[in-house]
Amino acid sequence: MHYPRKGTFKNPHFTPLIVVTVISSAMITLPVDFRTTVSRVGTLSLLYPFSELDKFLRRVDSTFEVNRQLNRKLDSLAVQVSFLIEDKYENQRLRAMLDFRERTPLSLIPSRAIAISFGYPYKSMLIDVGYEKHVGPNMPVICHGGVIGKTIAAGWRSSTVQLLFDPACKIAVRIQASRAQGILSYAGGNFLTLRDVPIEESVLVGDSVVTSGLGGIFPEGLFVGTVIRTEEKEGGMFLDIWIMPGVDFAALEEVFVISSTMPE
Amino acid sequence: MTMPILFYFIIWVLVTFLQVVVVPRLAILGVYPDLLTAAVIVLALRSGRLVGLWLGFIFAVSVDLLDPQKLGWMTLLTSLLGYGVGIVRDTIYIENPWFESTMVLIATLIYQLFYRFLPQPGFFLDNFFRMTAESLLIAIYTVAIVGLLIWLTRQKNILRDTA
Repeated sequence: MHYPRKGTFKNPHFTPLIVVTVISSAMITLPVDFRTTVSRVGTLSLLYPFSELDKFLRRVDSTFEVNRQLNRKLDSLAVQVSFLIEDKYENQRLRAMLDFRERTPLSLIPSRAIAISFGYPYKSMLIDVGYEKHVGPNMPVICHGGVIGKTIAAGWRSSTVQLLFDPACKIAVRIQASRAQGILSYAGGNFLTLRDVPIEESVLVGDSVVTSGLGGIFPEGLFVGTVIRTEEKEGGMFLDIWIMPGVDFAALEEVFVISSTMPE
Repeated sequence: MTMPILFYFIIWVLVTFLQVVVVPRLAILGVYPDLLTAAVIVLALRSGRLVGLWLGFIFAVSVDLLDPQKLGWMTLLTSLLGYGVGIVRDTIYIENPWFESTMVLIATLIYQLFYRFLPQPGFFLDNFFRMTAESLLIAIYTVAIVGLLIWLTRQKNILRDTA
């Protein structure tokens, strides 16, 4: 019979090695059900704080991911809403233009503003129609708010429009109520002026100003603006009339070029 | 044991925290650093086979509970690994970060191979190359992190000694 060598179990290194090996081996050879139970109990007791922390961090990770996805969606929706708002305003403008086109007896060529002169006042702008659509120089340009100006140069697919705010732009107009006539020109700021109207003409604030048809470019009766002030000149014989244009030049997008005064 | 019990308890909490909470988040394509094994190896190299044995047992037994299929294997292998590394320390240990890093690499690789082979030898042999590659990558990943920590600790000690 063989016995362990004397002192083997007294070796401070050897005994723990056997103890640890035996315990580990016992754990390995446990029945599966029992191992599962031990694992569950151990996880719920010894590892509970760690597993709970792990679960918490997983939830945080998941929340961050959901938050990131929602933010991405929100950004996408914000862009879509922006486009929808733009579409809504375009829709309103196009409806107004359509209504205007149906009301007027003029033959109109629709076009879009593609550039406007830099800086205030706006002196000219570029539109996207030209000779291709039978647009040439000296053709009136209007929108549903009234007269904008006239074409001064044309290319194949674009034309330059001289706006009413260009000091070189002069239009023959009349006060709709009194029939007083004059030459409209830019007065500075956001205003137009009609100078040297005889004082005996009855002109009231709020009167409409329309094209007179004289001059050969603009047909008669196109709305230009509204009288906002009259000023008696020194000497008491003439009036200067201040007119607010019916068009907001800063917001021009869709316009019409008048090709003839006959309906299509 | 030259280090107090409280120190080992803190190390246990830290290692368990790292292994249960942090390590899964450091995984790259299924390869994770085995910080628990690395901690046992480093502590066994510094404190000897008995400390390696007990720390291997205590550290592993808690994490082992997470996997009922392999319950006991991690405890057994980590304990033996701690003991084995302790023997290396008592025989050929050189106090050098490169030596410690090499020990971490080799011991982690051996541990990973045995931890895959012993519970399911048939599965291991059927997937020998994949299992070996995984073990090697885990060992490399582990030594990359632990080697950096060893180097930083060494630099800190050098700076302290210089001051």
